[in-house]
Formats: sequence, structure tokens, C-alpha cells
Amino acid sequence: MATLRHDGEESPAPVATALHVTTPRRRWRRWLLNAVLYAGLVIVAVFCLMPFYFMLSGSLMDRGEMFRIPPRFWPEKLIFENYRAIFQQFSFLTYLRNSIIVSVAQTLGVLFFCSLAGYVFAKRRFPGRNALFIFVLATSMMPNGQTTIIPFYLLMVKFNWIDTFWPLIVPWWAPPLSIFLMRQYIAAGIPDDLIDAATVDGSGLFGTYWRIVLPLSVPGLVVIGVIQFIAIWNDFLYGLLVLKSEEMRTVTVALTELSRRTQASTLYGPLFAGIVMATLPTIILFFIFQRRLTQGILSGAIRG
Amino acid sequence: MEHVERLQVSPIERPRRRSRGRLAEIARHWPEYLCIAPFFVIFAVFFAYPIGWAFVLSFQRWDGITEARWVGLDNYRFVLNDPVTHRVFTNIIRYLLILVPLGVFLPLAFGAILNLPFLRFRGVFRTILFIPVVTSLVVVGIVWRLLFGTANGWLNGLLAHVGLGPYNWLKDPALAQIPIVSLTIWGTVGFSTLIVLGGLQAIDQDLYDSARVDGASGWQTFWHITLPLMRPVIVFLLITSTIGVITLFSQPYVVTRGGPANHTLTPLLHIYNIGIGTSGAPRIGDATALSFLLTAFMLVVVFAQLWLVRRRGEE
Repeated sequence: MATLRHDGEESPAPVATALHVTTPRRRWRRWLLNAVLYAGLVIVAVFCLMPFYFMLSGSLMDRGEMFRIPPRFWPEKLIFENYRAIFQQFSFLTYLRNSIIVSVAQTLGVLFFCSLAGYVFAKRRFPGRNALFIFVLATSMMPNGQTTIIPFYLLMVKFNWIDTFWPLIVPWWAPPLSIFLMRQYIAAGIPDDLIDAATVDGSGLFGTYWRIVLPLSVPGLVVIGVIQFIAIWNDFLYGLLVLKSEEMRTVTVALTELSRRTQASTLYGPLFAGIVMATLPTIILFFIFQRRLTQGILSGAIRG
Repeated sequence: MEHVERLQVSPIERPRRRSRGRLAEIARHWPEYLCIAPFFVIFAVFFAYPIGWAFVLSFQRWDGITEARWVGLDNYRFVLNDPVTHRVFTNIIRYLLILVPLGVFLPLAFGAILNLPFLRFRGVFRTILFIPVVTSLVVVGIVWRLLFGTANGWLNGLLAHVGLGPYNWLKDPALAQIPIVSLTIWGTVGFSTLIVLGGLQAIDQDLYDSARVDGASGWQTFWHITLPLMRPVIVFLLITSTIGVITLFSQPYVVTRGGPANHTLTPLLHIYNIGIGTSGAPRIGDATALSFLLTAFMLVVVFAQLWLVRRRGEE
């Protein structure tokens, strides 16, 4: 409506923007503001996407082209040799398999233990419930993990867990924030009447969990599962710490250690092909679950 | 029937049982405790116990193989006088001074812009900004090495077009933090912006409407409504970016390997190097002593920040 308003003197032609345009000067300022805004956003977007462009471009170049001076930004001729090399010269399939085993085993454990604990904290009454729940939340604020890498490593040596997947799976099965999220989800999403009815029918705690709570929590579980899967897939520090032999390495550890070899520059082509394939799964997951994922992160992070 | 009665107790009502019956009550609820036990067992075994053990180890000299021996405060004394320790803490303070302001202001700015109602392609920009968050920083760090290479790096190639460079990004102590900082920003700003957007969207729209009715300018609205209500989000960004910087590991590990001359080395990377023994025998005592100093440093910085941003009314 405002764009159609004429004020007598030098009335500007109506412009098709959502902005309130009154005088030419104001319109000019709005236009400039918009131009600066969109230019800035495009620059930021380019900054965000540029590494993906380079990893793709690098993975399709041959070795000579990658180290040409001055550098080339896109291969003269696309070659797919690097994608063959990463599987044939290096056991990339093994690394992929390792990453999948670790990610799936950890995620399934997280889903089971966190939904179980979340259900008990949300719907069951027992002595000390609130105090215990506050304790769970408090541990999520402790700066524990990363400052204890050395004793964690020594503990894994003691357990004889070095060079196995266990250190990347078991210790991470009950993250406090996921317990919190599941508690919120079950408290709000599953009516008490349903659980009461099952209890009256003689269903025990675990039976109710398995038959009522678990099926009804699937949407919440999907969000937590995807977030968890992405986090483990990208985990590096603990993999580096405990996976010593080459055939046990996960994708992130294997690629990083390849890049640190003394002759690394000779294998940048296959390396970039590996990087593309290591990055794709999480991006695909993100696009599939984008809306629910961002909502899930928000509900967890604001309180955490 | 007993179960049904228990479930109907309202949350406000306190249990009237005496302490004598308390133990029986706890015993009767064993399935509940069993269900939440995994968290407590995992926490005790994999986090609490290692912290306690680390405390003991920080007073011992041990290489992980031969007999450990007690050395009192020697490890702390050594680590505090070690020039490398001074180097890593100098580095971390430089990282903090760059990355924390950026980690708070960039997400606030991006969040505010991406929340503008008239902006087109908002969803597209939000998605693009968030994609880096789901990637592995250490894997993208390999790309960063090539990006910042001297002779054939893409960045120098671009800069050459405008007549700048070449810069020795990864080898020059004055420049080497730039790749680390840019990679960290690239990987984390999308997540923080999402948090800011969530905070902005949680603000009651009526507040803005009534402010406009009262004739408040855009700047006044921002200063008196948006900023106070965004305070928890700002504190969250401050604390998370601080802890993120203090525990920096992957970025220097892959991009610069801590070099040149330890100028990008971070405390955690240093702890890893000496504790695992990447060059020479593991110095477990020094590593654990340094991790406690690092934790103390982190607590001091975080509490100082919380004190600085405290609500003035609560004094």
C-alpha cells in the first residue's frame, strides 16, 4: 500500500519492493542498503561453499595439474582416476566400513539408553529422581572429555581396548544432553493415560517402554540419531587416540594420517577424492532431515 | 493397584514416608534405577575415574612402561617453567582475542540479517551457512593446507590477480594463525547463527509492536528489547566459543601441525604430543599436570566472563 502513496510534488513511480518508499532519497538509501546486504550475504555464502568447490575440483584433477604454478581452479579435463586410486591404492572401503560400524553401533546404543533413561526421568516417580536428573544435567556442563584424553587413553590400554572400536562406542552411549532431550520429548509427547493404561494391564516398566514409549518416540529418536551419527562420523580426536593400526582406522583418522605422510603431496588427488566421499554422507543426511535437525539442535542448545 | 496409586501422586505432594521406609522404597524401585544406571556407570568409569587418576598421575613421573615414582609438585613446577607452555598459552590467548569476539559478533550479525522479514532467499542463505557444521573440520583442514599453500596455494593464486603476495601462510609465524582461525570460523559460525536465530524467533512479537506504537526507533528497539532478551544467547555464544578455543585440537593438528616453531600449537595438542609421546618417551606426569592447569585456566576465563556479563541489577 505504502508504495502506491503519492505525496503531491515529485512523486516517485511505485516500485515493486516490500519496502515503504516515500521520497526518492529514502528509496535510494533503501536500495543501497539492500545492495550492501545481498552483496555481503553472497560473499559469506561463497566463503562457506568455496572449500566444497575446491575439494571437488581437486579430486577431478591429475597430479601435475594440482601443483601447477599459478594454481588452476578447475581441471582442464575431468579425470576420475583419483576415485579409483583411493579404493585401490588405499583401503578406503575398509575405512568406510570402520566408520559405519562405529557410527551405527554408537548411535543405536545412544538411542536405546537415552530413551530408556529419558522415559524413566519423564514418567516414573522414585526417590531421588530430581536430584539424579540435575546431576545428569550438571555433568553436561563439565569440561571433562578433552582435558582427560591422556588418562582416558591409559584406561583404554588397561582395558586392552586399544586398536578396537569399543573406546569409540561404549563410553559415549549415554550423553547427558541426549538424555535431557529424550526426557523433554517423552514428557511432552506421550500422554500419561497411555502409560497408566499399560501399567493397569500388568505391563512392567520395561514392557511399557518397549511397547508404548519406544514406538511413540520415533520422531524424537530420528533427530537425536541423526545428530549423533553426524557427530561420530566426524569425530577425530578419540579415533586418533586409540586406533593404531591402519586397517582399524575410521575415515577421518585415515585421511588425516595420509595427509601427514612425508610424501603426502604426491597423493593429494586420491586424498581429495576421499575427502569428497567422507563429506558427502553427513551432507546428504543434513539435507534429508534439515528442518527437524535444526529444530532439534535448537531445543537442545538453548537449555544446554 | 499399588502402581496406579503411585502414578496418581501429584508432583507437588511430598512423600510422607519416614526414613525407615525410605530404603524399602528405594529397593522397590530397582527397575527405575536399573534403567538410568548406564549413564552413571559410564560417567564413573570413563570420566570421573580418569579425572581422579589423572590427578594422581600429575604428581608422578611415568612413561607408561617402567615403574612410576612420586615427584610431588615437580611436574607442575617443570610445566610452569617450560617455554613451550608459555608459548601455547600465549597462542591460546591470541586465539581467544580473535576468535571469541568473532564467535559472538558474527553469529549475532548473521542472525539479525537472516531474520529480516523482507529478505529474500533467507532459507537458502541459512542452509548454506549451516552446511559446514555437518562436515568434519579435520578432513576439510586437509583442503585448507592446499588452499594456503605458498607456491601453488589457491589463495595465493587469487591474491596474485590483484598483485599481492605470495604469502607464506603456513610457515610464517605472523600469519600461521590465519588458516586456523578461518577454518574454525568456517566450521562453527553456522551453528552459532542457528542458535541466534532461535533466540530471535523466541522473542514475543507483541513487544516490537508496542514499541513501534510508542514511537521507538529501530535502534532503540534493538537496544532496549532485543539485546536484553538475547542476553542468555550471548552468554551461551561467549562460553561455547571460549571453551571451543581452549580445547582447539584438530585444526592445528592437520593444517599447521602446531608449527612454525610452535606458533600455532595449542595446549591440548601439546598435551597429546607429550602424553602419547609422538616424539620421544611419553611424559604422562607433565601431560596430566598441564591438563589440570588448562582446566584451571578455562575455569578462570569462563568465570571472569560470567562476572563481566553479569546482570548489573543482581549485584
